[in-house]
Amino acid sequence: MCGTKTRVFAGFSFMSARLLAGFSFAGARCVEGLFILSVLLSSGCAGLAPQTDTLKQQIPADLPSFAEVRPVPFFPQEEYHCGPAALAMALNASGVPVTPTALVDQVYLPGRQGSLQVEMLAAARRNGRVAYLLEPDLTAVLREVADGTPVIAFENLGILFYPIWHYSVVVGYDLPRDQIIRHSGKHERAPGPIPLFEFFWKKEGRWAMVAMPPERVPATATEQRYAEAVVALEKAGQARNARIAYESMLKRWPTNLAAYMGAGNTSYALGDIEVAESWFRRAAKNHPDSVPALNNLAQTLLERGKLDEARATAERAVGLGGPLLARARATLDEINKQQASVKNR
Amino acid sequence: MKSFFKRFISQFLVLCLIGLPFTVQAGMIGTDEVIAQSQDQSDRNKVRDFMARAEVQQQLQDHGIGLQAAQARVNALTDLEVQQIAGKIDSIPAGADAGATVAIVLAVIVLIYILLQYFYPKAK
Repeated sequence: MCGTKTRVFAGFSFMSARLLAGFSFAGARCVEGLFILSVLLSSGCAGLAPQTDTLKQQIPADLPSFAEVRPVPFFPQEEYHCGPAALAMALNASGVPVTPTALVDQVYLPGRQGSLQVEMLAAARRNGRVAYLLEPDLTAVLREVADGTPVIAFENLGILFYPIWHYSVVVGYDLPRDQIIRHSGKHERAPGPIPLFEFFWKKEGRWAMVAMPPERVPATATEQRYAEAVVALEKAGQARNARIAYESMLKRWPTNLAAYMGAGNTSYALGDIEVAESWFRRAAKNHPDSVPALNNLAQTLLERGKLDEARATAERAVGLGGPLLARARATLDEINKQQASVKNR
Repeated sequence: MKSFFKRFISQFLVLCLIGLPFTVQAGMIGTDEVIAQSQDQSDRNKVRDFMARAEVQQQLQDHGIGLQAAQARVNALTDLEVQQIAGKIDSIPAGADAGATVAIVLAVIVLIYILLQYFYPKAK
């Protein structure tokens, strides 16, 4: 029953209803929502919101039926500035008191009159937060909200070949009422039907991100991808925040090598060489076959003047071979040079 | 013409990288290297990443961003993110939510709707 013709008519019907709602975006969305919902309910168009369907058939036992993140400060968006507004809301909720105006220079692209998705991630990093892209899964969005994290979602509110791209912030949901609650445009805590949200969200691949304070790890984060997100924070020059994030990683993934190495490297970058040494020691203890751990420990020991131990560690690193052999050798050479010059004094 | 210059520049840069007395630096192995799925550190990849970043920075400037701001913005992108947008900044989605444009779109679509009503009188 959900053939192309039906969909086309559903689309055209609600778009004309939008017109009738007097060009008002909010009014139009309400009417539009009713139309889509009626199509969904009447003809059971599972194709329009498949993940909502699946969720409703089997709600995970550990997913609360209702959740709302409070407070999530609301910033009504200026024209074209839904990117800065949405990012400001997420950052404020994570503890960074920044205004949309301050974010315009970081994330708004005048030539496109909008904000690119990757720049939303990058700008979150620049403000000291771990930018993490969620799985393209509705349940993941709800889980993060249930965990107390607002989610920035990328939607396409247009129809057929005319896209209308938009960022909104998901701040709550109510499964029994089939509602998702968003800060969107000029609307604070606006409830809407979950299948309607999914319909607009899935058009651009179900893109959703969170901006995490470094002390917390997203509920749905996976080990490798979260490590990559924290490395990206480190490379954006946020050593202090990245270090905290690496330490947080170890609470969830106690043996993760990148977390140890990251904590060590960021400590080193911050000038805390003693702390760096202890991190690399722990890395080498947990991963005795890791050339990076041994190499960086050796380098740190060298700089602290513990030359004998440095040399022994570097020799272990070189002995392991592998793709980073040249780097380990270079470190060993440096240590030998230092030891030779000490002897010659 | 443009691609000729691109190739020339990239080959020149590769020569620079190879030609210099370029000893492997002693020192720290970065966290990014630890998580890298492959240890492919070839010079060609480095040049490609460098070119992609320069391209993205130029494209940001072409779209109205000043030099320093463009540099800062590119620096905060990961290599993968730079790859995803290099050369495509004109066409990839940009979240905006333009209220006024919606009205124009509506007018066009309503027109088509009216025409379709004419050909298919009963909407199913």
